[in-house]
Amino acid sequence: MNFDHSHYVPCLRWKQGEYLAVFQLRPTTRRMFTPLIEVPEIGYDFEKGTRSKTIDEHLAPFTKRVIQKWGRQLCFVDLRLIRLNERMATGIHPVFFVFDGLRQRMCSAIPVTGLDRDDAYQREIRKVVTKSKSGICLRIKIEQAAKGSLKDDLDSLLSRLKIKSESCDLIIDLGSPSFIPLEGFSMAIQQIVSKLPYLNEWRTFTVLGTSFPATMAGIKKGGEIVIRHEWQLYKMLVADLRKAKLRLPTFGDHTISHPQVLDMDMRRLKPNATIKFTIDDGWYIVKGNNVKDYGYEQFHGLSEQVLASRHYRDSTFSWGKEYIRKCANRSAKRGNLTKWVQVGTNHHIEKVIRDIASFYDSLNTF
Amino acid sequence: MEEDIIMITNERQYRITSAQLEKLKTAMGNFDIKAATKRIKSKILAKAEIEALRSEYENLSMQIHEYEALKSGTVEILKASNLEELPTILIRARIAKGLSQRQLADAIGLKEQQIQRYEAEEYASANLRRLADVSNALGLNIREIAEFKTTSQKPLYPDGDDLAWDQFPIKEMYRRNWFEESPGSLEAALANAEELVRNFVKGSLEPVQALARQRVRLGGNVNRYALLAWQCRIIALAEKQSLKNKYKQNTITKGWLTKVAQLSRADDWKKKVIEYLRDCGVRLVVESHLPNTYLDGAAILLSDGSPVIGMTLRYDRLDNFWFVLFHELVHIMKHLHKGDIESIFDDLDVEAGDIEQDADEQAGEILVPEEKWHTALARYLRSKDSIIDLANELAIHPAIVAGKIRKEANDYIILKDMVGQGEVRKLFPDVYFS
Repeated sequence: MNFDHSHYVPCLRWKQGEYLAVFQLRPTTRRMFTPLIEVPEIGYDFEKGTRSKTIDEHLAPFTKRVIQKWGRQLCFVDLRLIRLNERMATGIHPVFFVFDGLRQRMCSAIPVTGLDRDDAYQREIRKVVTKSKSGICLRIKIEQAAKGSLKDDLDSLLSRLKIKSESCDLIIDLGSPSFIPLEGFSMAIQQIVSKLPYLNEWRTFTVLGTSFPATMAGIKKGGEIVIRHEWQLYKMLVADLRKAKLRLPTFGDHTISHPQVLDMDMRRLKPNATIKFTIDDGWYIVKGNNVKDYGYEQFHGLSEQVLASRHYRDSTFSWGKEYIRKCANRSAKRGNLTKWVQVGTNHHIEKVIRDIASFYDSLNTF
Repeated sequence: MEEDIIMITNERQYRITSAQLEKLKTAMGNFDIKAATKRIKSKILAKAEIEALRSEYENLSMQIHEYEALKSGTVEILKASNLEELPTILIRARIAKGLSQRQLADAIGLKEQQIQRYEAEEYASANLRRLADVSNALGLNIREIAEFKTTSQKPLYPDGDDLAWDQFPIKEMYRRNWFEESPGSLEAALANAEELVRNFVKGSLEPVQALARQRVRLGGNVNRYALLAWQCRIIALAEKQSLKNKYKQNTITKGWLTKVAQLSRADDWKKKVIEYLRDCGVRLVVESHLPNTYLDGAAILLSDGSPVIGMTLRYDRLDNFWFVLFHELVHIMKHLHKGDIESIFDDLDVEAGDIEQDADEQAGEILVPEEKWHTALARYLRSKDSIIDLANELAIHPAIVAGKIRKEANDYIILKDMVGQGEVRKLFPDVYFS
């Protein structure tokens, strides 16, 4: 139940595109990362003017889908996107419903909590960990970590949950900040890490963040490279922390999505066909026209564009990358938007795992 | 909406958009979420309605902001990284050069309506020859990129000799009741313009030194006479304020400024800052800007060497108040010295950029020191909590931090509820704001 800094923690909102992306990963790859699985939000049905599902309908397939698509291996599960006042029809708290379901199916899912969850949430977490003895994952926002009161805040939460720091996985959540200038941001984080209570005691220690754009609106049609600042920051931070002889964090990101949920009326949106292809230090985002008016056939052409670019010649192998090649050659279907989330996410995970391995390889040769 | 404008390209659209903005502001202020929820029978949809108003408001503010920035000459270089951007560069360069659509049309032998059409459709139907004509007329330098640079222009001296009296914004000055002796009707005032303005300016005829925050550009749309009239008005108002203590050179130091910055946290900050400055011999006068001046503020030395800060509150935001105030205080500290009046005026032409930049940097440095800023979480997270934390640490108002973030990001949509919008002008009820 442990991993070190050379591991990877992708945060995944557990929707079809994401879990199918994980499902397609090779077994060796699966051992090199631990997903932070987020139970997706309940959507809003703008047609009916109500929520699309009840909480019961929404959560019923969740545990099964974790086990079918990820397995029983270690994973973190976070219900931050479920409203705090939500209860199952039987009156059970969703936290208990999810984790008890996972435990009964013998899945080593670790419940995620934070400093900003309410009393009821923490009570349920406590109930779950008392039964499962799995420990917890603490997801702390960087602002909270910077507060002078952090130690008191942590101590009070840990004692409420009757748990020790050694049984906790710590995730420092940067959210989606503006990373520039990197040096300054890295220094700011280093200062915070150096003051983190129990730094060497946490079971695992991860820094999570993303520079993935919130929408594709700002992306030029054709193609554009968006820098993966979180990866550049991570490399800089590791160098700084090594110098300061501090514990190194594991890298975490949001793959090819943005942490903020946009509850948009899909009837009014005209999403463009895009392929998000992860490359060294960035995403090569290829953007076509909107799919409502121009259809999905354009994905063949967009795939051709990715295939023909120098970015495709990266040595990473992934199911997603292979799919792009096949789609360009018309031997795979053009797919739909979900399919392309699957393709992009799948390739991203393989690419990042490779990045992390090469990064630490290069550090160790010196 | 009367017309769908993507970008403001002329004064008419500017007026229309400004009026729309006011209407939206009122609509947002009057929006009753409860009543709307009842009416639409959905809280989410009611929220969406106010969100729609808000996003429209932001959109219009952005357009106005861009147009004003272009006209005022604060935008110095426009660059297009590819040809697709050329059309907007052509439009923006024209506005920045202070040319109207008609003037551009005249310059290349077209009708005004043609330019209007071109700009409305972003030159979609213009051929290469036409684009070249327009670029040439605007003095654009097209190599791999299109580049456009504005140049500075000397301000007028109030020495009265070669002033064109009819160029002063008489109507506006009349409306604001600036003339000491009653000129009677507007017609009478216009007929009597020279004498009125001569008397108005007379009080400030002695050599005074002023650094306007707004650089004046050659060939631009900035009305230098309006600038001068405003300056004279500031001096006239300043001279009415009596001072207990005379200003001593070297009063303003970094430590002194830091104390002023801390006043920003006080509830009655306006009273406190005016008194603090006055006790040290610095007068602060507020008078809104005249049309076509796009002025934020000025630092002026009176003939007896006492410094005056004039501010227009052109942007009604706390962060802007403090930034402009500090900019002017830095001018007083570093750039305004009695004795070398002429040299500074002469240098303004060439060195204005340096002096302005220096004042900007120093003002920024005192309010939020670079060393802190470099590793301040607020800079990266841009969240309310992190901004308040940093403001507490620096003992300044959070609006100053939020304003700095917006400026650095060059994004005036973010953090709009943190910059003290609408919290400055209302404290100056005697000042006329158009």
